[in-house]
Amino acid sequence: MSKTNSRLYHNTVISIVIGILLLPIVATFLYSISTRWGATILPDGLTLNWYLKLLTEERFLWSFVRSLGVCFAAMGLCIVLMLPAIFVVYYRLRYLKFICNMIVILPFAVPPVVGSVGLIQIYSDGLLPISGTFWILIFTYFTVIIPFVYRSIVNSLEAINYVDMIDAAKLLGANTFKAFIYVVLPNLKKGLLSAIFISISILIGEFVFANILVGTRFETLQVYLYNTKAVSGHYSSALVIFYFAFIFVFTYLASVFSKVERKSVKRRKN
Amino acid sequence: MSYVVVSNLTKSFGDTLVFEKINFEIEQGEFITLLGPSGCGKSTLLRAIAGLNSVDSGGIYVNGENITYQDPGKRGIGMVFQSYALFPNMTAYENIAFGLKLQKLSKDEIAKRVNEVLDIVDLKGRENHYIDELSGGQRQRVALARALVVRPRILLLDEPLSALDAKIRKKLRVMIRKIQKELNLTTVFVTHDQEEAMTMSDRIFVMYGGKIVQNGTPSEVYRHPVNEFVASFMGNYNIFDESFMTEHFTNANGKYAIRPEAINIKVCDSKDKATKGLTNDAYNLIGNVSFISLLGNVVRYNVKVNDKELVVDSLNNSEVIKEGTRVSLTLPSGELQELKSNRE
Repeated sequence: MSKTNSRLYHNTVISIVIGILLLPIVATFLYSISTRWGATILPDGLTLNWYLKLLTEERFLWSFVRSLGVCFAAMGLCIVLMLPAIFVVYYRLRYLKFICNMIVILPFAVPPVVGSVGLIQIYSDGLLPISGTFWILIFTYFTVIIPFVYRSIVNSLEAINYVDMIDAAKLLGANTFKAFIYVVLPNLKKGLLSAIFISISILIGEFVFANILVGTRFETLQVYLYNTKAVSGHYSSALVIFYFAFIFVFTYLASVFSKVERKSVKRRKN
Repeated sequence: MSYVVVSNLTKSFGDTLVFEKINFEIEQGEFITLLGPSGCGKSTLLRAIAGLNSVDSGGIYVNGENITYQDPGKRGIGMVFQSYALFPNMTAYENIAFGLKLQKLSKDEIAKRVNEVLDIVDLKGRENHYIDELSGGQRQRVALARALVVRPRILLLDEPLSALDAKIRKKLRVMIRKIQKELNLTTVFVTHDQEEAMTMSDRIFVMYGGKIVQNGTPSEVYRHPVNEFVASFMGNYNIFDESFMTEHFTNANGKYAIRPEAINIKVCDSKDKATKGLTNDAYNLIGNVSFISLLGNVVRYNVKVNDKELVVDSLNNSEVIKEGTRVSLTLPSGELQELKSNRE
């Protein structure tokens, strides 16, 4: 195959894949800006009314705020718990690595429908009687994102020579805690950022746990979407496009932030 | 009492003994090298001195003070790691200043001292670069500067040059030794490279199987190896066992060794025969050149004598003897070195 031919082939394949992936989004978007789209190939007319309605609907805005609040809280909790745990395992208790790698995939193994039953039982009494409140959602969501947070942090930890770096810091007068804060943590920045963005993207789309564990008592974005699906398809489409756009912007910001800013001018080594 | 005293130091990981009853003393300003093959315990010993590994028993004293159980940061020890162990989130300057910041020195004082060491390691103009913007040699100099800036009582170097290419390695060798002499810094250097050890050290401690098997100046260790291990590790010694000695030279007990450059090689014809016993204080062998390697200033001949292959070095100043030539070898008896067994 000649060079231009093979390029044509590659471009065609890529375009088809992108087309397939984009089709539902484009369709949803079109639906969200159409007045009526029934028996015709193209919509009858275009309008931004669905978006106006959406953004002036207090119930929606609150559900969005609730979703964001729960997502960030769960993610914060997860990082606060996982970061020191990973550090201790990788620095001192290396024989636990294997066990950790097994444990972190558990959230994948238990389907939410099953998991929620157990979670309601655990959080109904005992130390944390939070069943039915938004707290249970936070304490559930942080388990959902453990695999992603764990892997992101571990990958960036393994990319640096953290043992020697901590030893060097200790010889220069730091204790283990200071060495972790000054020397290890800044180098985990990229991993932490990617953990945060993946987690938020996943959690903001979570429905099953939210619906079973708290439902309308604490209406999140997905629960709201579910409860208003009967109102109008156009309205639901506008909602989906809105939160999709949010995730898109969020991820874009992620890639901008993760490019570590540097003071020095990059010059080539001599 | 010497400046650094290590007495009866023992360390094991589980059932594996890493080193046992290590004893040595280092004078202030001395450059000593722990030399040995990988796995001989030299790096673990160095890390024990730094306080990065605990020890099972024994003691480490610096200037009379027992530091065996002190925190690494309080020992006044600077260390350069094989992996550099630099902090990638910081510039060269910030890396070097890290230890001083922990000591809570003023900004001016830090700047003054960092600039001093930047001068010493010749890195002026590179201080604002991040570590991944520096070459291997520059990184190692940042690591050295970071260790020097806190003015350590002892400098530990854990195979600092092994990741660098030969040319930079040689340059840094000279640089390290010069700085060490200028600052009169007591230094312990770990390496598996005997050439590096010989060119840099005041004294070499040869380690084998968790023990220091020989301790002496480079020329002592090179010319008078105590056992077969040191002989084969320090150079290309020819080692003769009892039966070879008895057959060709004289009745002997144990093994003997001779340096390749101590043997005299010359072309002979087929009529010449080896004479057993001493002639003019030298032994004599006849063999055939089986392989030649040109090392530049030196020609290295592999000479086959019966079943044994000997290595003979000769200065590259006359015509090189061709492969397959019959040669006569003269071995001065004074150069034959008696070896103890490796276990002694």
